[in-house]
Amino acid sequence: MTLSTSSFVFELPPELWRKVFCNINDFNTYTELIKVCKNFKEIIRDRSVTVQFVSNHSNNQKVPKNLVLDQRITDNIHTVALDEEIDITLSHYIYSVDSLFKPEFIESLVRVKESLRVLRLQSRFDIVVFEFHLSPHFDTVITGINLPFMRNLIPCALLRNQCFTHVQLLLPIESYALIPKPETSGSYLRKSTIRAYLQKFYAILPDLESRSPLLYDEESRELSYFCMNPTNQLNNNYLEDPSRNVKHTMDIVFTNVKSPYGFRNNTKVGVREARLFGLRERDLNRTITNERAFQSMLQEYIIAQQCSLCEAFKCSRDQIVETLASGSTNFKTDQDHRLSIVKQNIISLNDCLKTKIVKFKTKFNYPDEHYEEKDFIQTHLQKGTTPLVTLFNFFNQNPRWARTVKIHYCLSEHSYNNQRENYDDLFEKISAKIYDNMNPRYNNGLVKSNDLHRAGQVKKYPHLITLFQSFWKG
Amino acid sequence: MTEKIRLTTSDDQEFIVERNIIERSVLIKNLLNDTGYDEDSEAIPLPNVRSSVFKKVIEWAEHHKDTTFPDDDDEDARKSAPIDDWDKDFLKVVDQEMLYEIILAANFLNIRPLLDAGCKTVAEMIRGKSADEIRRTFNIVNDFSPDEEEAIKRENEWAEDR
Repeated sequence: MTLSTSSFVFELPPELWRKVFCNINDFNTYTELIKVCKNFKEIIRDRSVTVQFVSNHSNNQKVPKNLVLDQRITDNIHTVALDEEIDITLSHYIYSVDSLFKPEFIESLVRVKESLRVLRLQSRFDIVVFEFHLSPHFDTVITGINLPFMRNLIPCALLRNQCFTHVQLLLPIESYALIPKPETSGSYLRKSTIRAYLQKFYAILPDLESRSPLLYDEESRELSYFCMNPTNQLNNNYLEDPSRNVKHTMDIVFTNVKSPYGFRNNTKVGVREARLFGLRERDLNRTITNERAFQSMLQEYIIAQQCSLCEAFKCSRDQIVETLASGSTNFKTDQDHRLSIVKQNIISLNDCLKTKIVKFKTKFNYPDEHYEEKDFIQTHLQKGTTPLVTLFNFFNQNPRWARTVKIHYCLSEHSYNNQRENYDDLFEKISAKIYDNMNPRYNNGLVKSNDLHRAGQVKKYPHLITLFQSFWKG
Repeated sequence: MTEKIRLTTSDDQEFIVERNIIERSVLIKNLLNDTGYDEDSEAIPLPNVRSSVFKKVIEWAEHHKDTTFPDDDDEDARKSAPIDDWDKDFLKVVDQEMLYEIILAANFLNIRPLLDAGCKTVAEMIRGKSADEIRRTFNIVNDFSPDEEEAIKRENEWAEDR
């Protein structure tokens, strides 16, 4: 790199510029440095392979709770040598689980995001491992509030970053069994575990263009893609009760991935859906092929409804399940009416699901049911009947869920028919808007159609405006 | 009596420096330990350092002869440590040319604290500036083509969503 003053030309080698840049520690300046000249750009992006491990797991007593997040990022960085060539930098950030219930959690996510942006631009981390342990009782809250933002955070801030040659390994979110627990008494993963991560990571690098987060299956020790879908996150948590030591199987994962969108080609997820979720075609054969898995999928929606009850009545899921099963109510009198309504819904849903299971058994084909939404969806989305229609009907009983699902569905369907990039951009803006509208525990605020205008996407998606307006009016 | 070490800079000027001071340089310290040094030994050549720059390095080393710095291996501690006030003033009064030469000399002589202070000072000159301002400050030529600039802009869109 050549620098010159009016009377002097001076050469500073890249390693010294790197030292200079490492002391800047300001995200905006890094983004400016990339634009200065080619050499600066190369220096900023040049780095060794490192892993950042971010966790909210609070079981480790050695790690102090309630530390300021930024301090953790700067202070609790530990380096272990993986082998002669690769240094792995591990940092274990701990939230108190209690903090997840506070509005500050969202703010801390923002700080994580900002800090990670700096760290990545400082070339300190190639791989970011997220481990969010969410309390089952509050999954609805956490999922409902944060996932639009989380979805915005993860693919955009971590995976969508095209500045980096390596795609981050991301193991989200409620990862009881997805991420191996620290195998030592300390807060570090063993080298062998990290090595396994990396080996898997690099083995599938060519397939990472989908930018989907990756899932690590502890049992098979395989990585695969995983769709960041709000409904998935919630349901996975409940299906996989850590207290029962239930392992997260790939079947269930894939069930969750495609369940909100239904099946195509009967029992196997179609190529189109696979692409939508970033699955590789060779994964298609690993999709649901048995009734148990199918029932699991259906069970998700019952659980989801129960989850809403947990939140509404501030009870544990077990309490809800027990109460519903017994047919009696232990809730306060003024809540009885609401409970009975939801109970009815669940019973109806159960009946509906049982019917579907029977049909599944006999035909292996998803029933073509007719709902009012069918015409609507056909009109606006120009596609045939899918089980999504059924799900829309279900989700419409829970508006807070419904909006998320609708947005996700509409955009993803359309984007894939049009242009993936545009979809990503649009979804990013909208999900950011959802986050902005949070209040602060619930996103009761709607994404207004003029948000799309502001996002500059109207010309690209006139049909979406109509679609959204229709939804919002409802 | 403190041992004196003779050193010769790139412009053939000879310096005689106390051993405990010049041993702030890990390079010189290792050299002295490895090869031995007595008063009959030849002056140690410093082909990469000009005399004016070496004077500044000696000035810095004399001031810090009793200072304890963070462990060299503790990258984070060194990085997070603020610039020493004296160092700040010391580096503030030199022009850019001298500052860069001090950084190079510190790198060559392996004087980590001085190198860190120099890099932090340059970082301060960069922080908060736009790309254009950085170019002006350091007289850097923009070697991106318009297409490349556009590509960078696209690549960085994700980062500018605040």
